[in-house]
Amino acid sequence: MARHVVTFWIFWIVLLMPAGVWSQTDITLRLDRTEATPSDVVRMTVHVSGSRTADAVPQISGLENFEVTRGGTASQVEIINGRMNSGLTYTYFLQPRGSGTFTLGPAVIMREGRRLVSNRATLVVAERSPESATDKPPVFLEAALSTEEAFVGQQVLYVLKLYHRVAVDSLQLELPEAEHLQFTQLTEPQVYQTSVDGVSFRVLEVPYALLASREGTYALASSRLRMNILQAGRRSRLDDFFNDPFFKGPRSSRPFTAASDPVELVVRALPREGRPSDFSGLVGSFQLESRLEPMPVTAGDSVTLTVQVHGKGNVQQIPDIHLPDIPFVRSYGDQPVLEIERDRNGIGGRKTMKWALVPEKPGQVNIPALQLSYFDPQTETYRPLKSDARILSVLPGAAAEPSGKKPLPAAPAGNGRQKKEIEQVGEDILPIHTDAGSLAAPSGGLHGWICWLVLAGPLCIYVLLWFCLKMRERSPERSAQIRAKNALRVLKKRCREDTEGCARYIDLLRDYLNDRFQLSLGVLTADEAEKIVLAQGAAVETAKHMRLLMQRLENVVYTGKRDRPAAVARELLALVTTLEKEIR
Amino acid sequence: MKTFFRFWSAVWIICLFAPALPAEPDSASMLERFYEANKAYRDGLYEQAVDGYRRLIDDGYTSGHIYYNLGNSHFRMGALGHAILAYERARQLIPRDDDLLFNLSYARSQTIDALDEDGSSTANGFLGIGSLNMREVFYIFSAVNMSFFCVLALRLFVKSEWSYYLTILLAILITIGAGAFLLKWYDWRTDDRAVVLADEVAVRAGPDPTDTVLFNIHEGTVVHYERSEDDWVLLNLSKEQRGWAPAKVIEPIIPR
Repeated sequence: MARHVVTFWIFWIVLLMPAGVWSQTDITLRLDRTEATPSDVVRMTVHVSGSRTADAVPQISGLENFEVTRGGTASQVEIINGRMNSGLTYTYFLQPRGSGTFTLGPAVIMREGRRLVSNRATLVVAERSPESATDKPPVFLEAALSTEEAFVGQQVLYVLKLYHRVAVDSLQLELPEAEHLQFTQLTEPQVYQTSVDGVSFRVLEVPYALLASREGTYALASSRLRMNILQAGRRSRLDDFFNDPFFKGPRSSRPFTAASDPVELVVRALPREGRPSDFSGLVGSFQLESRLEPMPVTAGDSVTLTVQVHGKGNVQQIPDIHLPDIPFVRSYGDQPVLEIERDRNGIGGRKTMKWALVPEKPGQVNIPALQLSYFDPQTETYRPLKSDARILSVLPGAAAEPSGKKPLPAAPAGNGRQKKEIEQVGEDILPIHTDAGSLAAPSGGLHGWICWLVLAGPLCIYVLLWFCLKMRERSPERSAQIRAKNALRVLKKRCREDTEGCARYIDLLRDYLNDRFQLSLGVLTADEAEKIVLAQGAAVETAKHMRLLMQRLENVVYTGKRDRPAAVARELLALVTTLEKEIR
Repeated sequence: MKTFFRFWSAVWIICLFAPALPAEPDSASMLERFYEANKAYRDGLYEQAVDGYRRLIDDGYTSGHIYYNLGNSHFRMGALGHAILAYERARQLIPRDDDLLFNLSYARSQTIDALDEDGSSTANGFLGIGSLNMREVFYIFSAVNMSFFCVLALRLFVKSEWSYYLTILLAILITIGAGAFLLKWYDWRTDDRAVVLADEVAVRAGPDPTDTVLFNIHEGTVVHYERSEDDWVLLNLSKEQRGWAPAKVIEPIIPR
């Protein structure tokens, strides 16, 4: 037993003894070949010996001109001639982007604070020779545009085809990017077999629709398809047996990137000339269908007007059509439904708009034509899409007609008849006028003197009339008449304004009598005043009152007796008012 | 006051009917000649019809309907230029006649030159007076004018509130009427349109048959007449297209 224990410990000591060698750490960069072509994939390994761990991945110089794919990391422990070596291997797959001589490395790695630097390796990438039919690489990618010139909004097909003779997997596509250009994948990738110049290839085809939102020249860079090329192992007699899937293990693969050739697309702006006002940016090929059902309909019931616009193109731009107001019909619009379809020929679809129409009256209702327009890139013209104008026959129904409104014309039996434009079948002038009545007022030129008479006559007559009236007002007789007419008004005004006392009222009364009766007697006495008013037809009492009042006022003047002016003024005005009434 | 109203009524009647007075003589003879010309037209004797209508016009019966019939007669004879000229003259007198507008439009459609000449003027846009003839505009203005001064004269005697507001209203109307009348008169005075009467007329750079031909115009085309020099007239189609043509093949729509 003790012997077995000793043997075990010796084995372990022997096994662990080479650990002292680890202090000898090294880093090596290797390529699997020194010459290659752009379609080759070169394997590069960076081996760090003496260690199975590292602080970080190696930093490798000179990889700028290669598509680099990491192949993983492997650590090894090996004992050779009793000497144990350990190491860490980083694997990379390089695909040259062009031809030339390239220096790869050094690889630098940090380990336990030490900076380890590898060797450099040189790779010569030869120019690819012109391909003959049989020189086609086993894997290549092609990109094609359906047209090289298009209009804004027009869809262009961009088809990628991967030809391969070897098995590939883990495909990753990288499409070119361009501003104002949108890629839309149309279908799932299709796989089929084809023959290129007698060589059989499997083809993986992916169609895309390109849609440019602005005019310009778009240089589309290469599309890149990353993949793993599966490499077959050595074949032996047992291969057939082990080919059974049950025995199939993982096959080795090598990453590869296939790039298509760049393409160019010229996008033109839509023409301004002839652009309809209702154009919404719809480009492609479209049709419009409409239907009205059920027909006929009863007043108060609903009928559905369906308008569907369908076709190929940028269907998102199909506008929502507006249904104008229809007299005596209530309309309720549904939310438009847009269905987009993609197939190998591009993007298409349909937009369906529906209105529920409820006629309020029996009779015939004209449903107007609905219209929109689109741009047809094939003919490079704007085209209208117009639905048929329809006639809805409305039968009398349970729904009562709105009172007081005249019903529409009665509908003919059956469905409404399609209206037809009146066609002009001939042209001529209309006949002569034979009605002599139309000649009753011969239309000679307007005679000059008549014109002037009609135009200036009223003005002249008016001016003449005005002048005569003014002149009449200025004559002495007229002045006296005016004074007589205004005598009472003047007296009232002066009585209100004059506050000097009763002594003044005698003058006012005399002025009134002189003006009113157009006298020129100057200072009237009380007796004279009485006689005058009696002569003018005043009552005796009034005349007597006049005389007494004047005598009283004269006494005030000559005796200096004071009186109440307001009371005197009231009495004076009352007397004169009575007098005016009596002599009128 | 009664005397005043009698006076004004007399003035009104005289002024309204005075323009019609000079056209009354020999109306029986005029009607007879009118019917004869119509009969000639119906019988297909278009030259005779043209003569009949022309004589009526020369005698002072410048009715729009006679011009219209004259235009029809010319049209039947194939004289498109004369037909358009007669229609245009008729339009000055009966601008709202539907038959006339139709025939004028149809005659214009037969011309060779593609010119957008519809005879529109600045007056058409103002209160629709383009659809009235000169006499109608004058009558309207005269009526408003006389009404205004009647009310004004009335106010010399009766100063009531209603007469005040009526005066204000008529003052506004007389302003509008005066504007319309002046505009119509201006259009009529400045209407320089003329019609090409020959089949084809070479418009030259100068008033001489040896001058360079600038462009050709055809029968029925309406041009603008600028001035005349000897037997030549300077006409224009636009500011860029001007030239001289023989006076005998161009006739103004409104004779000057």
